[in-house]
Amino acid sequence: MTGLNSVSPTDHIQALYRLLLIRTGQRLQAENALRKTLTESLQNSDGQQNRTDFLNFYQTALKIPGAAFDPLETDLAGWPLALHQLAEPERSAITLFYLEVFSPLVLSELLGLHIDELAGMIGAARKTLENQGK
Amino acid sequence: MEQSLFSLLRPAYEKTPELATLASQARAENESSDALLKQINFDDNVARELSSLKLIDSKADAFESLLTRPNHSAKVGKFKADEAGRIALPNPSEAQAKEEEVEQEEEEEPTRRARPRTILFAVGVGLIATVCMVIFLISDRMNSFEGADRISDLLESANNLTGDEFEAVETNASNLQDWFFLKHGLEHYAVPKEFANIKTVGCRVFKFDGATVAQIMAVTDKEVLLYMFPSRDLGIKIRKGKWEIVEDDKWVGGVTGINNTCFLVAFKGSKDEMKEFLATPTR
Repeated sequence: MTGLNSVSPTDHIQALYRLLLIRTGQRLQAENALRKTLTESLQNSDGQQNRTDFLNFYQTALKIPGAAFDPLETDLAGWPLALHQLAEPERSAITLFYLEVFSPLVLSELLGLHIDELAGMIGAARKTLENQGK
Repeated sequence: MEQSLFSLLRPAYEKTPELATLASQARAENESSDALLKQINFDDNVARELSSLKLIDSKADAFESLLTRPNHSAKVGKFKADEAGRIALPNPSEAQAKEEEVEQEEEEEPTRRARPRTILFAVGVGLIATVCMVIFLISDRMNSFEGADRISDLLESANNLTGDEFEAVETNASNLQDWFFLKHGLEHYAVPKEFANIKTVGCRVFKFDGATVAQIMAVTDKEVLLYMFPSRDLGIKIRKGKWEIVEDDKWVGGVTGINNTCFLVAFKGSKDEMKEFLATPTR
């Protein structure tokens, strides 16, 4: 994108929260995970670098274990619930794709994939969502 | 290769180097363009609902403040994002310098907590105000009597008088007992001694809330109305010989009890004027 120039720190905070909410399925857990993500990322970068890369925050967020879908526990509904029900790594990949905070190339690097693999993953995840929506 | 990236096409990504060519090709071809439109529409629906998930502003601000405190204590200014979306944070030495600066500023500023003396003063003022309010309420209660509100109603009813209601009777107040008894069968006529010689100009009897009230118009240095009625008929309890003063918007009344009769003298004026009036021995 890059479109990245227009992504403010607040936008990144909200995007990280959305990613973690889709991964955990619960608001409270997402907030706790966000706190953990920020704290850990800042501790890891402390004294070693003088620039904080938001990519680092997303990498930390993706390391926090997600949750399997539990209909009694989730706070989600509609398409966010459908996203939560996807399996990893498709779930995080397509969520990040829809959040539009990184270009596809940066996103593929973040997920440790080749861009073709990312495209395949997004296509498959979209198809699953379309089937769920039918 | 590029065709395999078709699933990554979104308006926000179409200008990225990796997708720009594919996007323009897809837009140019009818079939691809339709498929792209369909894909974008579907993605927009999902993305819209995803973006509706939002951390409330206060919490977002709290999390953002974590970013501005890389050492969890140092305050730093706003940071800027570079072209890759990276956020510049100050290096450790800069942060340390800022932290020292903040600590120095904090030491220089006097503590802004309220001093114990100020707190005691505020509590004291509050207590004094409460005591004054209690004294005022008790005093107000003591200066009142049961049925004072009925006297107020009676005084208010005097606003409607024109003077035509009265029958002309020019005599002294002490001479009217027979007139009221013979003409109206009224038995509860009683006038305090100090009002016995007051010059009357008119009399009447009327009903007020079921009570039979004798009313006299008299003239001294001002126009005065005298009322007499059985105390219990209007639920008035007042000590014999003691004067109570009731003030209305225009009228002021002096009330006292004589046996079972309530005597009320009223004129247009203030409480102080009534006090002075009642204190005058002869009229």
